[in-house]
Amino acid sequence: MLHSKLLAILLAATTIVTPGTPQGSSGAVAAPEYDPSRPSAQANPDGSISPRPQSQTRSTRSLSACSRYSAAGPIGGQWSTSGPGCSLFGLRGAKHTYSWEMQWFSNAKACVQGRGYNSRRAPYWAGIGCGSGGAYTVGWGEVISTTRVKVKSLSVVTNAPIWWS
Amino acid sequence: MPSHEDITLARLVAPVCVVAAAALLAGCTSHDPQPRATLTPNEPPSPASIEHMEQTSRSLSRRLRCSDATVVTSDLTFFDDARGFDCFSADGEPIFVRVFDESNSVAQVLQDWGPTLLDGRTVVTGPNWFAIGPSAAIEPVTSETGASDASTNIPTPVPLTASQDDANTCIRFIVSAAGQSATERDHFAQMELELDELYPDAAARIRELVEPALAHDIRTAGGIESASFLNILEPIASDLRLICNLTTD
Repeated sequence: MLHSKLLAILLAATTIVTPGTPQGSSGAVAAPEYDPSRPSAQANPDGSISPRPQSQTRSTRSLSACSRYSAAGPIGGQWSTSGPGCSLFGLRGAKHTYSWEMQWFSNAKACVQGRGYNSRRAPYWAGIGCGSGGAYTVGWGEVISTTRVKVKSLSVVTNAPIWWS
Repeated sequence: MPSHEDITLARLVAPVCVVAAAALLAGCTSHDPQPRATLTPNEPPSPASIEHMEQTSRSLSRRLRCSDATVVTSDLTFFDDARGFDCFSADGEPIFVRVFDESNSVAQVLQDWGPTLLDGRTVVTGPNWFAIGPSAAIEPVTSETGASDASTNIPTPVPLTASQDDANTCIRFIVSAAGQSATERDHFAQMELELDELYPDAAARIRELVEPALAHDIRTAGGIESASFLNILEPIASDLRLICNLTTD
């Protein structure tokens, strides 16, 4: 039931929604975080992402632009939340695999968390690895949301810049 | 150990009559502690605060018509202590109710819930609580004092202080690691050294707390993505929080 509704939601959201004004054809359908100007993709049950059908997107950014973002754990060892990544439209049972690596010029180490959604569409944060890189798959079923990570440098005297997707 | 999935609304409702009767007799509602506006991360709630959270949770449960309730005695996705329950509407959609010790926690926790407010799912907020579920199902709690209308709009949060943010991120990381220690041992093993760098002795403490029976329950439920994962961890919730308290003091 939700699957067919979600497809209707995707169509409605991509043609009607503007940032910060979540609404759609049936009243309230788009997530507050959804931003049609950002790169967007479809999250699939096998953990992959794929381009959304042209009929469902007005994004001018390609899927490749959805693939890699920069973030950094700051000096001082605090956790830092990244900016928004890719807008992912999760099909039923969809998963998303976060991956990250240290930027080439840094020999720092970091720990990284990524946001996902469980089988009842409740949010959770998962550890996606510590050290110089890592990957982890989280749930993304029937949610329209933006990927985000939190990064912490394992050194208090150097920051930890990463690439993540 | 009885499954948390087996806990029914009866467990929530049963004590309500006792509490309601006691409240009538003692006139205790006027002495209810108010939710705190600011909270020191490592400060546990007082017994009076816990009673107030539980009383609010029971009050909300009486208004909702839902089934297959699971009691929540510690929301491990956030540093602030919480009470509440998860249950299902008549058409099988999940309903989530959380009552916090601190009033600011509502808006802060809801930031991650925003993207799930789709397909008829809405939120009603109160002074220190929220209910999420289908509009029609959660409409009755709008009668509670200080409740908002059912909406997809989430309130703007007061930013977390640095120490609250650290405590918050710590508990999420520790909880995730606890789940991964049961389901993805290689992944957990790769993180152990760094985990201990972040939070001293955390890896060993997690291995000790997630004993084989608990690990089995986590695996059987489907790991950290499972809806019952956090409920399974509730018996060790205070110990997991303690790992963060010891390192963020």
